[in-house]
Amino acid sequence: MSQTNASDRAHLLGQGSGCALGEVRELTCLAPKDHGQLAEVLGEARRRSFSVLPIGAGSQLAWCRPDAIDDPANAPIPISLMHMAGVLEQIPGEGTVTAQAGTPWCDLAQAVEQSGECLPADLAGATTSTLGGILAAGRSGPNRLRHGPLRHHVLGMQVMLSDGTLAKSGGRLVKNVTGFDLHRLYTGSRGTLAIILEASLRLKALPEREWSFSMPVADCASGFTKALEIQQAMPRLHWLVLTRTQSGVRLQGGLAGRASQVRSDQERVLRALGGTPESFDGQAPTERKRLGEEGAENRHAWEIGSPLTHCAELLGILEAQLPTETKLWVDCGAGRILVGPAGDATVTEKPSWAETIGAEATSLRPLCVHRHLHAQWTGSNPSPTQTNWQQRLTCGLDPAGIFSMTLDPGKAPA
Amino acid sequence: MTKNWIDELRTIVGPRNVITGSESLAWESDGLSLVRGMGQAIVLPLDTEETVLVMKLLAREGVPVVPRGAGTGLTGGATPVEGGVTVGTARMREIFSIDPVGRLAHVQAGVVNSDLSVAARPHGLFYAPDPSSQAACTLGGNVANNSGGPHCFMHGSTTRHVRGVKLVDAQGQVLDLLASPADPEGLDLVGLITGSEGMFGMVTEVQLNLEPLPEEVQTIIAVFPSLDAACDCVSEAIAAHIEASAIEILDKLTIAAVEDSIFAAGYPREAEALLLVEAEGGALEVQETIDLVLQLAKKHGAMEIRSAQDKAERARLWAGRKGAFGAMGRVAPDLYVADVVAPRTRLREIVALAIKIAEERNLRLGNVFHAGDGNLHPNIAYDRRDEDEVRRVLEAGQLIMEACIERGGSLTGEHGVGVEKMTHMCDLFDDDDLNTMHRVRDALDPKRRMNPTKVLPLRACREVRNGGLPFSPMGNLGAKT
Repeated sequence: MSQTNASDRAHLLGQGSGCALGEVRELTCLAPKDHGQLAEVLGEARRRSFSVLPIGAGSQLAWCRPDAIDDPANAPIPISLMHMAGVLEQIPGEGTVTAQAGTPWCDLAQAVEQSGECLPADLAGATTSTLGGILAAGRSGPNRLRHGPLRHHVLGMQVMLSDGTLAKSGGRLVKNVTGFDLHRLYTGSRGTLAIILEASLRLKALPEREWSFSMPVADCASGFTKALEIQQAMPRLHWLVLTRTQSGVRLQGGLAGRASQVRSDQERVLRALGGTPESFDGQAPTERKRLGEEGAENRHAWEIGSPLTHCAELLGILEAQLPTETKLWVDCGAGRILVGPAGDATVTEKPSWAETIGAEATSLRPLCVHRHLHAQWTGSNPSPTQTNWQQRLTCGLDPAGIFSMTLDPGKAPA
Repeated sequence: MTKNWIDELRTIVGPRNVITGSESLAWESDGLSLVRGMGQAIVLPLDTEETVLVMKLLAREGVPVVPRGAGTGLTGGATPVEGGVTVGTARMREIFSIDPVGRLAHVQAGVVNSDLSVAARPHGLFYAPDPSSQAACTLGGNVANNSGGPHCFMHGSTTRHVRGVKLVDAQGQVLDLLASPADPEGLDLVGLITGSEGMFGMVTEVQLNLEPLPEEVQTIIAVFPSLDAACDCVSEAIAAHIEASAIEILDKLTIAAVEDSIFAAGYPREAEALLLVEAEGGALEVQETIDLVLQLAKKHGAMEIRSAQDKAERARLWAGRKGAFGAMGRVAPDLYVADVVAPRTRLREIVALAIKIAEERNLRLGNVFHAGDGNLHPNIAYDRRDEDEVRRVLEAGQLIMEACIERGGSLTGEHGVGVEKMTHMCDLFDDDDLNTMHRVRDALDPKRRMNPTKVLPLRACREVRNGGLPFSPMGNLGAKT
C-alpha cells in the first residue's frame, strides 16, 4: 500500500476491477455502472486492503472529505453510484416509491409529485443529494416535526455488503414486519455497514396549501422557549426552525395540508406568535429552499442532538461561547442543533472554537453530539455496551473492514 | 444439577416468581395455541437489575431464553418450542415518568399498552399504537413484534413511536439506549431491536413518543352489500390520498359474532361488509376527510352510512371492532388469526382468494382487517380437538400466505413471524437475505440462545427447500415441498 492518496488508489482499483472513474465535488471516485461492477470494485478493495466510502453526491461529507483526512494513506476511496439511478417502481394507489440509490433527491421528488404525492422528508434544497446519500447520512427534513424522521418512512432496502453479497430487508408495502428491520440499521450508518443500492419509501399526500411565517426573536434560548409555546398552541405545525445568522435570530415555521385547515390554523399561529411576523402564502421560496438545504447538506462543524427539555439551556451556552459570526440552525421539533460557519461557506477544516463547543455540549448530558470529522460519533461517549454492539455489527457485516477502516465508531479517537 | 440453578433463580427473584411443573401449563403457548412447548421454568424478574442477574445465570448454564410479555402474540413467538427458560415481564409494571414537554413516556416493559394512554391523558397526550389486544398486551411485547393496530394507518406501527430502550443481552450486559436524542447516536440500534422478536435480548424498559390528543375525531360506519364493494371503496380512497386515522373492514360472519357477544356495537346484521372509518385532527380537515369517505361509500353502493354521535357511541363502535377476535369464540372454540399484507390496489382480489381457499376446505372464515394498510386478518374458526379440521386450517393459512406473497404482498403486517411463518420467510427472502439477518443475529448473540427457532430458518432457505426443517414446530405442514 505504497500509494499515498485516495486518487492513486482509486486508479488502481479502477484498473483492477474494470470500473470507470468519475468525479464528485472534485474528488476522484469509482463510478460502477451496475451491481456486478460494484462487486468487482469491492472485491479488489478487499484484496488490496483498501478502504472505500460510498459518497452519493458528496453533499454530506463536510470536513470528513477523504482528501481532508490527515493521513492520506488511510483515506477511503470514494465510490459514487451516479450511474445507478432511477425510479424502479411507483404504483398509483399504493403510496410508495422504490428507487435506486444514485437517484437525485430532487428528481425523485418531481417524479412522485406527478401522482399528487410527496416525499416524507422536505429536503427542497437537496438539489444534488442522492437518495442513498440522504439515507446513509440519516438526514431528515424540517417537516419531521409533523411526519417524523425520514428513517421512519423507509420501508425496505437492497444493499451490497463488503463481500459482494446482495441483501434485501423489509419490502415495498406500507406495512410489513417480516424479518429484522436491517434497513433501519443501514439508515444513518454513514456507509460503515453496507452500500445502499435501492430503497422504498412511504409517500405523503401533496398538501393543497402551504403557509409559512418568519419573525425575529431576541436570542436562540428565548426563541426556543417561544417555539415550544407555539407547538403547544398548534400541534399541526409542519416545521419550526430557529436560525442565527449575522443579521439576527429568527423563528420560522409553516403549515401544510388541506387548504381550509391551513387557513384556519395560520390564524391561530399568528395569535400565538404575537408581534408582527412576516407571513407567506404558500412557501417562502428562497428562504424555504435555504432551510431545506441546511437540513440536507452537511457542511457544519457540529451537530448536536438535545432533549427538548435541555435545548434552551444548551442554546444559551452556545450563544455565549460562539463567535458572533457563527451560524446556528435549530430544528425545534427534534432538538437538533447545527453549528456552522458564517454565511453559506462549507466547513472544510476544524474551526478554532470546535473543541470548546464540544466540551460545553457534552457537559450537558444527556446529549448526542455528532462531530463531522472522521470520528463522527465520539462526542457523548456512548456506553461500552453500545460501542461493543456497534463494533460487533460492523465486524459481522464487514469482516474485511473495508467500509469501516477510517470511520469505525469504536476505533475512532475519543 | 438442573435443580441447583433453578434454586439460584429463586434466590434472585423470589421463590414465587419462578414457576415450574404443572403451574407452568398456562405458559406453554401464546395466542397461537396450536404450537405448545414446555420450558424448564418461567422466571419473572422485577426490574432490569434482577433481569441482569437472571440472564447472567442462564448464560453461565447455556440455557435458551424466551422473552415473554402478556403472551397475546399470535405466531408462537413467546412459546418455548426448544425448551429453556421463559423470562416474563409480568412484574415490570411501572410507568416511571411522562414528560409533557418532550412528549415522552418512560415505562417498564410489562406496562399494559392501554394503561399508558390512560396515564398520559391528563397531560393531553396519548400513545398511538393500539393493537386489538391493547387492554392486555404489554409495551415490551409491542416493541418485540413492532405491533400495529387500527390507528397505525395514520400514526404508523410501534417502531415509529419507540425513542429508546433498555435491553439486557444474552450475556447479561445492559444496553442503555434511553434518554436518546431524536436522531440516534451512531447506529440506529433502537430501530434494529424493535421488531426483532426478542432475538437480541430482553427489553426491560422503553421510552416512547406520545401524541397530542386530537382536537376533533369523527367516526363513521358504512354498510355495504358485498365485501368486494367495501374493498373497492377503500382502494379508491387510498388512491385519492385519504387522510383518515383508521380504515377497517368487518365481514358478515364477524359482524354476527360481535353482535352476539358482550362487544355488541350496534353493527347492522344485514351488512355483508362494514367499513369503519375514523378521522382525527383539525375540525375542517376531519370534515373534508369524512365527506370524501361518504362520497366514495355512496359511489360504491353503501346501503347505510352512520356517524357516531358522541364519545360513547364511538367507543362502542371500536369496542366491537377490537372485541372481534374474542367474539369469534362464539363461532368455534379456537381461532386461527392470519396476518398478511396485500398491495392496497389488490385488496378485493386477495380477500376473495382467502375466502375461496377457506370455502374449498369447508372452513368458517371471518374477515376483520386494517383495510387502509392492506393488512388482512382472515380468521378461521375451528376446534383443535378435530385433527382433520386443524390440518385444513393450517393448510388454508399457508395457502393464504402464499397467495398473498405471489401477488406482491407480505408475510406479516403486525403479528411477527414467530414459529408460524418461519418457513415462509424463504418465499420473501433468498439465502443471502436471510444469511445477512443471521450475520446480524450472530454478531449480537453468537450462541443463538435468545428465542431460538423463531423468525429465521436455521440455515437460511436450504433446509426448507431440501425437504423440511430438522425441527418443524408447525408439524409436517412446516416443511415445504
